[in-house]
Amino acid sequence: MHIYLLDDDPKVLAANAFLLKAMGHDSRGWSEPARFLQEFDGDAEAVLLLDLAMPELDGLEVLAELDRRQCPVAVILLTGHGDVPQAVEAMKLGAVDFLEKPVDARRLAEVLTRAWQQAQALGQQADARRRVARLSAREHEVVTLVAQGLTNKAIAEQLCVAVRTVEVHRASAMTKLEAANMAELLHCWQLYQG
Amino acid sequence: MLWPLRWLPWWLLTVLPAMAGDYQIGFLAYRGEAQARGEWHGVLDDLNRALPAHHFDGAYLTQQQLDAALAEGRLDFVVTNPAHYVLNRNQGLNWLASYRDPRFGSARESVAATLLVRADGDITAAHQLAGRRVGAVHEQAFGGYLLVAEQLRRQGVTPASLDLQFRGYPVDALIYLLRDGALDAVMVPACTLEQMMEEGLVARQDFRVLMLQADTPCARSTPLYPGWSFAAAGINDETLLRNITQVLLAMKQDGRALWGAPIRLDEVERLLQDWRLGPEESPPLRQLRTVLLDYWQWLAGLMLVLLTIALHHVRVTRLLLKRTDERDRLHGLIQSRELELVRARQATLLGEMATGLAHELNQPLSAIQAYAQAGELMTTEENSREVFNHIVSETERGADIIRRFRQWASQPLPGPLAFAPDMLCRELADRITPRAQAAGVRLSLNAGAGELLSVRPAVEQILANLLGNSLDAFERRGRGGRLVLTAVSGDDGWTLTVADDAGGVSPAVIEALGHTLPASRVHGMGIGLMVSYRLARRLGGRLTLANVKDGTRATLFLPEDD
Repeated sequence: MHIYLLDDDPKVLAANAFLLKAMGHDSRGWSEPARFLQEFDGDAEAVLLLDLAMPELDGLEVLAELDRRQCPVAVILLTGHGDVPQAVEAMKLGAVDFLEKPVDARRLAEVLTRAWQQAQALGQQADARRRVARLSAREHEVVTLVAQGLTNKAIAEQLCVAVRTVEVHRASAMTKLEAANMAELLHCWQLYQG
Repeated sequence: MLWPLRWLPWWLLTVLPAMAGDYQIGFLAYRGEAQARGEWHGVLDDLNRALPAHHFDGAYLTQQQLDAALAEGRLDFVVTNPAHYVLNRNQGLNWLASYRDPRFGSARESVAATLLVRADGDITAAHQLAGRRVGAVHEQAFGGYLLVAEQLRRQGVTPASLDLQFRGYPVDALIYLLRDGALDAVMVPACTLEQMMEEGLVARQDFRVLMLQADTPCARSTPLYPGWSFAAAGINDETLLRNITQVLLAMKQDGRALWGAPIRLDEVERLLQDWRLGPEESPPLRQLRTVLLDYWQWLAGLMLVLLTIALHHVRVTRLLLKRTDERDRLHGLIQSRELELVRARQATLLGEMATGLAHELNQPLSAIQAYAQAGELMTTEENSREVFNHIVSETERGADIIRRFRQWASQPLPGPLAFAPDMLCRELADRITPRAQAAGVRLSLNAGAGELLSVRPAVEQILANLLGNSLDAFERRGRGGRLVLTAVSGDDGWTLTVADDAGGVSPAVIEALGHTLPASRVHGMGIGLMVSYRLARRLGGRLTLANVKDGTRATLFLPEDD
């Protein structure tokens, strides 16, 4: 799994990287939030260990930015003591969990597992969004109605087109969404819907 | 002396007799009984002749004897000098007629007195009498003392300065005592000396009159006062009184009426009042009395004014004391509030320091923990694993200590209560006014009415801090300006602003405000500002700082808790 570390204290950054290494995970660290936002791979699924207290741009703002970009990055917050209000805020913004420093390795391992699952889910969502984006407007309409459980005939009547035309759009959409069958198509649509 | 009745009007003889009776008439005999009997028998005879139904009898008495007889009710009528009459008015005397001394020929001016010294003596003026033996009849005698004493008083010679000797009646004795050198001066009724000369008792050239006012018909040292009075004592028979009065008014001597209608005696009264028979007073006191009596309205007015001033003074003094107390109390209140604020600030500062320290210490602890845990994972050696395990648990222990320390240092805020922000602002403004004035800062307050449910001490701390920062900036600049404190209630909460024109703050501070860093990490930032920011957040509000035209505006927003 990809792990990013973001902490304004380089020494802590190095120590955490070392720990992750010992736990069998590779990681990449940044100590400046702005540079991190420029450099990280926005399409790759990853877990971010994010320090909440940083100058210039604090953890919450980084979190909001990731959310805005819809990156498949699951965030674990590292907090000092007594930052509960911000931590709650962060959970609302979609963080997986928050850990109080100093971090306990066992809890970290457990949270990492969950975070990786979330990252993968986010990845799938991003994937689904990418596939749906390939659809033309007409195909998008057709798939929307299919997901609502309408038959081809009903769709044709609603869109005022021939049933044959609906069938053609549907087949093309299945190809674009890389769905082998109806079930896969619906799954992909659900992911896209979030 | 004889005054034969020349003529009586016919109707007097035909008057209807009222109740017949014997009547006693008391005559003042200042020269002794024999003299008086000779002087008044004419009047007595006339009365008896004109009113045959009645019998009138004369009693010739000294002033004291007259008083006693009147008091015992033994007299029906009294003939006496005006002073004596005035003194006895409370005895219920009914005044019938005034005697017109034939020598002076007027009822209003019939009585006077003379101050005599020996012609061969060394005394020629009244002021030489001081300390000399001066004789008089009695302290209540009118002609025999009071009249002369009054004149002496007007010349500045007080009775107290004389060696006064009251020798009693008859008056003749005084003249003899003077002549024989037993006295240096005597006071006698006017005409006494002349009568005695006529009677061949003394020689005129042996005596000299002091303060001579007139020589005719008798030498006198005083003005003339009203004449003797014929008064009824306790007789209520009107017919009798009318008859007696008619007889008196009809009496004539040498073709001149001997009795006149009763005249006013106010001069006598005034004299007696001035003289105040009894203990003698010193001249300053007498003068004071006179002044008091003459100007009493003015004096009363003056006293009233003085009293008003005094009352006003008392009131002002009391007000001043009250105000001073009030001011002291307010001052004490302000001081205690300041002290509270300082304590609160210290507590917050301590919390802030604890937070900073905790954060700073937590970083290396985190690193140690990470390395130790990594070591534990990586090593295969049992001993090393144990060592790492210890390090981890010790690190945990350190972290716990820090956590507890932070909890202890940052006290929780008290519960929110409703308060009036405008009152709070007024209080704060009052408190910083002296400092603002010293710095030449015009402080204006603009606060709307209403209530806010929040933690008042915390809000106070934030505002006090912001105002203090502004004043600091003014003082650093060494220039005055304007400082505006406003409080406005909106739909979703209150907005309190502190705006100044003291040059603004560095953008770095505005930038740093709002980071979750401990204040110690932000260079050049007043820790108070950071603390205020944190407090505002803890209150559920926010504090923003902005540079405006040549100054800073700090805005504290506090939402209404529903």
